[in-house]
Amino acid sequence: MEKKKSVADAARPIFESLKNQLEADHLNRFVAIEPCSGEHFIGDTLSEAICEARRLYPNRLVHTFRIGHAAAVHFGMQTR
Amino acid sequence: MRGVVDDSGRAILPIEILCPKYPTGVRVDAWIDTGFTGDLVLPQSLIDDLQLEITGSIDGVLADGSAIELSTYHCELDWFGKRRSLEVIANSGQTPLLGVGLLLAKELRVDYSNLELTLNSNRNEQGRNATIKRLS
Repeated sequence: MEKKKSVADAARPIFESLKNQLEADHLNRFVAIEPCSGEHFIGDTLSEAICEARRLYPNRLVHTFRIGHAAAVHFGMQTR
Repeated sequence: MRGVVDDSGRAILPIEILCPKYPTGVRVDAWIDTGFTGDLVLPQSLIDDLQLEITGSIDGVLADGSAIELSTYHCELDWFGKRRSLEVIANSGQTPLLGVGLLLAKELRVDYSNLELTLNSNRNEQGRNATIKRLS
C-alpha cells in the first residue's frame, strides 16, 4: 500500500485540475482522489466518497477533499 | 440514543464501533462536538488498538486556523440499530469526538438540569444533505 503522504501530494494537482468543474457541479460534496489511476469519486459525505473509491480500488489509499472548502473537515468556527 | 453530561458539562454519547477485531462491537464514549464538521474522530491510540484499516487522508483546519493532514480509517458504526459504514479520522487527542456529520437529520437534546442527553432519529432525512450555513 502506498505511503499516505505521497498519496496526498499526488492527489492535490489532480484536484486542482478538476476544481473549477467540481465547484460548478458538486459544491459542498466530497471528492476522493485515487492518484494512481487519477480517478475521482464523489459522495455527499466523506464516507460515501471514500467508499465509492474503495469499491473499485479496495487496497489503494485516497486523499479526500470537500469541494469549495479549504479543508475536508473543520474543528471550530472557520468553515470556508 | 441516550447519553450523559459529565461533571465538566461535556455531552457524551456512548456509541458502538464494529470492526474485524471486534465484530460484535466495542463501546466508545464520544464527546458531542458541534464545532467539528465531520462524523467521528478517534484517538490514533484507539485506532491502533481496534486495528482499523487505513483508507487515506484528508486536510483539516483546526480552531486556530492552522491546517493539518489527518489519516482516515474504515469501520462500521451501530447507528440507531443499523450498521453504518464510516470513515473515521485519527488525531493525537485523547477523546473520541462525534461531529455534526452524524447529527444531521437528528434531534439532539441536552438537558443540563438532569445531566442527560437524547439523540433522536428524524424521519425527514432531507437534513442529511443539509448545508451548514456560515454564521455571520
